[in-house]
Amino acid sequence: MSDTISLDVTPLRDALLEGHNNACLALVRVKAPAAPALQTRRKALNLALVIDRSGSMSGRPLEEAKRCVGMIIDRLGPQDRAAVVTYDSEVETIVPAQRVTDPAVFHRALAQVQSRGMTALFGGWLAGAEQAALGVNEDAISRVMLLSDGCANEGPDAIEDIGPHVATMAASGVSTSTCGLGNGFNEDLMMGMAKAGQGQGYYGDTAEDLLDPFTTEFELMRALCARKLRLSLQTPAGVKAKVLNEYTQEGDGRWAMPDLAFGAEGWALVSLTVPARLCTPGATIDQLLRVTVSLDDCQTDRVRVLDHTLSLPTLPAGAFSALAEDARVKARAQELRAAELQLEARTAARRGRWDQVDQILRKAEQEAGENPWVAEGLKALRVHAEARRTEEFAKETVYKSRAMSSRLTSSADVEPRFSLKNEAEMPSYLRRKVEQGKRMPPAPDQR
Amino acid sequence: MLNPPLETFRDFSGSSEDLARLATRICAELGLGAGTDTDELSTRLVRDYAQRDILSRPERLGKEAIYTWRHLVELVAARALVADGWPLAKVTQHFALTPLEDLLLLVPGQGRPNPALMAAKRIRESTLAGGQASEPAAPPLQRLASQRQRRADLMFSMKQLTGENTPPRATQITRIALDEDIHLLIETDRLRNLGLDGADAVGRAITASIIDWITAKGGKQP
Repeated sequence: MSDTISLDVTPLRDALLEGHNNACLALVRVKAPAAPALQTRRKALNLALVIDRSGSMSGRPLEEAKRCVGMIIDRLGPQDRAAVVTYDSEVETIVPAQRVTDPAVFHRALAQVQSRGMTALFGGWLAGAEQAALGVNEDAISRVMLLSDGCANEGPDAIEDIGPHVATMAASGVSTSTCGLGNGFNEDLMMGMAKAGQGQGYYGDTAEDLLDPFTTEFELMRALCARKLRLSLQTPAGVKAKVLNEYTQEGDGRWAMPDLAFGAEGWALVSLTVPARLCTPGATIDQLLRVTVSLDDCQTDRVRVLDHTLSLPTLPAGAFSALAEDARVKARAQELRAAELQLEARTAARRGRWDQVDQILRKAEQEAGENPWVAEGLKALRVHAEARRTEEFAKETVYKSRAMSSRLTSSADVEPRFSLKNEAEMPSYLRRKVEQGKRMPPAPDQR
Repeated sequence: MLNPPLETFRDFSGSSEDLARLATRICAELGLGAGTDTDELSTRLVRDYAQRDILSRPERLGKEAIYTWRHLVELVAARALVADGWPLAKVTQHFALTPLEDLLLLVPGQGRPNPALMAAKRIRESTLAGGQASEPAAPPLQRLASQRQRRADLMFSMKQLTGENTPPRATQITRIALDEDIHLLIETDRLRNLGLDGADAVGRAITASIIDWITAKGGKQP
């Protein structure tokens, strides 16, 4: 594995079919090096931890949320900064932004938090963003981590109103990750905020499942090696390229890819349409796809630009059909297709059309083929579908779909085959969970 | 560089002792003490600056003067100018003409405004005022909401209309305006391959269709 960040482009097949219009796939991979044995320099963390303490959080959920926040505080050091904000009908900054030199200050404040009132989600987020903004600088990763178990019912409550503000803060250096809890929260709002905020979206089915997202978020921030990844594509005249992942396309046409962690790779699946007139016998299409990725390298604090060009020859039908399909590209295509079908199934479920849900899931199962992660995930969805649990089904499909379309994958030469044992051995941010809202079950030999 | 930045103390409010103590700490961090008349700012100096109108007039709570963020900025900025060799009389003149946010820029390390703080301030102002988002700093996010979910909704609705596995068909159409009121829509691919004979045939087909329509309707407008 290279010791610097690298860029690679792999086609599904190594050639185009001569004399025909071609629709082909290419996998763009931005590969990070393995984590250095001695991490000499890491970005400080500048966090605002925002906790919903509305009435519905009463009891175990609030206690678990406080425990998760306490866990994060205990893992921060004096170079890091943190603030804790709680919200119900009112917003309260219970620990203003400060260096984490004395974790006891945070624990004492957390111990006083009790549930009450409504859910002023936007107000809570904004107070958190303000606290994080105080510590924004180039040497720190600044993020709001927002937890909620309910729908916003005080102040702005729609993603159309809140999303632009969250995006503004992200553009100014404060990203937002969100974590929903239970089945009463608004997954469109929480996931929308995470997307707009250039952070991660998580949810926990029960209070016991909350620690997993917090751990993942923390470990991901600790392991970041590149941020602000922007992808651009260039093709010759007549060739069309389209990114199939659910990434945000910015005003300048570039695609925003997820932040990159050590030992991981960010990826984008590109669909290419090549007209027959270019696929003449014996031709090679030079620079069929030129990929450029710019990023902020956290190790060197410099902007880097990576470049890779894909050229493909044309082959007659016999030779073309004998070409093997790249397993990694095929797996990603299956995951993206499954992500698409799951969202379709969600729409059907929300409309009470469980017969349609059944059909779509069957189709997804067929198309998943040999992909064990997708197949296992669909099996878990079936349980919700058969029990007609609309909220649980809707939430799991949204978060699973997001994971399948934008997850970081292992940058190992061969991605480990999906199994509970293999997943348990990976860093938390690379694990393929069967159910996004459930904590990772222990590996078979750890039970 | 001062970390946390001076903005951290925007909510500051306190007595002359509190102001002197906080300003002393900030000036020490910024290296503004060395070479000036004193390393530690005293309450006497605070009052002296107030009398010289370098500091704005403080609010009063009973007998006690209450100093705020404004006074903190004025005091630290004044110390920065004094450290640069400015006489106090000049500082007074300068401060009389300078808005507070510009005084903030005189403090070392505060010259570049924190864009995140400014963005958060704009958001709070716009939402507190009950106004809608006015977001000059936001990059245009063309796909903020989940286009993927919208596409899924659309696919579902299409299937309700057209049956399972019938994807929507997109065709490129060229519209030729024959007249202000007469437009010909034709598939672009077909048009491209039409040829002269084909064009003639289309013309005749149009004539026949119109005659047929007029005949069927008895020449009346629908």
